[in-house]
Amino acid sequence: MSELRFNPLLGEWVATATQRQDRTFLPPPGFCPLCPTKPGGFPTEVPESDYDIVAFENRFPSLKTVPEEPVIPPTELYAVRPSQGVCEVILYSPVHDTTLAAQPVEQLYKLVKVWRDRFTELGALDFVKYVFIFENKGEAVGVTLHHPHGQIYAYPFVPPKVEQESEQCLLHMQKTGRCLLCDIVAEEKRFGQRMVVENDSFAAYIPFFARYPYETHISAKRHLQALTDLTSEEERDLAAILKQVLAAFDKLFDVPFPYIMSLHQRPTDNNGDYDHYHFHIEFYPPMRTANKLKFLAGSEAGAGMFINDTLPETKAPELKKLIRPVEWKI
Amino acid sequence: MVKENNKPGERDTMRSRRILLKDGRYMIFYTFGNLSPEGSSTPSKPETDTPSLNAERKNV
Repeated sequence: MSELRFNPLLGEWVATATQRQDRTFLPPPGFCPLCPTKPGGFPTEVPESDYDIVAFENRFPSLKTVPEEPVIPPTELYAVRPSQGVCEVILYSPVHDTTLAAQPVEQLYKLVKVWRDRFTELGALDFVKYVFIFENKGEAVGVTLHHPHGQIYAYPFVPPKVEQESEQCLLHMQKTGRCLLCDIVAEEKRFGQRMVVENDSFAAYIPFFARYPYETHISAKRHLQALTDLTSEEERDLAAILKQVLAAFDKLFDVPFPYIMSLHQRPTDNNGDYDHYHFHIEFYPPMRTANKLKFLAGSEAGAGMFINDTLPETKAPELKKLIRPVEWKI
Repeated sequence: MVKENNKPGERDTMRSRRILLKDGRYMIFYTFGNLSPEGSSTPSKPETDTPSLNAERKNV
């Protein structure tokens, strides 16, 4: 069962989802539930293999299109509501032993188009206020299934991190008349040392304020708010820069580089104008060296203040030197 | 019958086919015939129809 409980201390919703305790956890080789079902094999969740990309409802969702009623009644202090929303899984490939980084750029281009399609469909639902596209990659960030996949959570509210970003962007626009992300991209390009790679439409950099050693942001150069604002050329450029950054990640320590990938787009709550907001992608890789992880410890988890043991000015050049040109076959 | 979508313009190359799983969840297969480097994607074929998410919609 699942429900949304409000935390009055932080002004945030927390989802309970007890059914997720039973979700498949690191199945043995040959028993991946996300691989296509093979003739005579055990029935997986995916009955066919003839696809480029698949999207489907998560078998163990935190949010449901038709949620059950909360198990506990609200009080004057504690609000509770049904956990209405949508949780989708996006399979990047029918092949098990691969990663998004290993896909040809054409596959990333297809993924950008699927992301756009899912954003449009899920964002149009009346109860959906925010469509969050993300990927958890690697056991270091809690992955339980290794088949290459991302996820989408369609929330019934604007999540706090995006809300905070939106507020900061609005304040900056009211103060300066300019977009905050446009200014950040301009500042990173001017300074240069934290830039990783750029093309006509996107810039990748480890920002001045990075909390993780290799926290890389990819921002649109044109002021736009969502994937649905991209031209076809910008979709290609997004696929290309994603390919370059992901491939560079894997070359850093010659391992499949774990990360959380987080797409930040405008809310879909029809709650006014989000022209002050700016589409970008954030990567949070937990590795700080080849054999050391960045943990969320006392200051990060208890106080919300991150401590970065490195300087973005020294980490960005490490990634930059691993960037390679993208080769399109189409 | 399966819901098939062809997007306008360049997105004509993207096709989606939606099926319903035994437990009631939907699954959408995306194929990109003209975009596949190998040109191996097969056209969508009709199967069991499932509606899009059954809920009121708004403009996005």
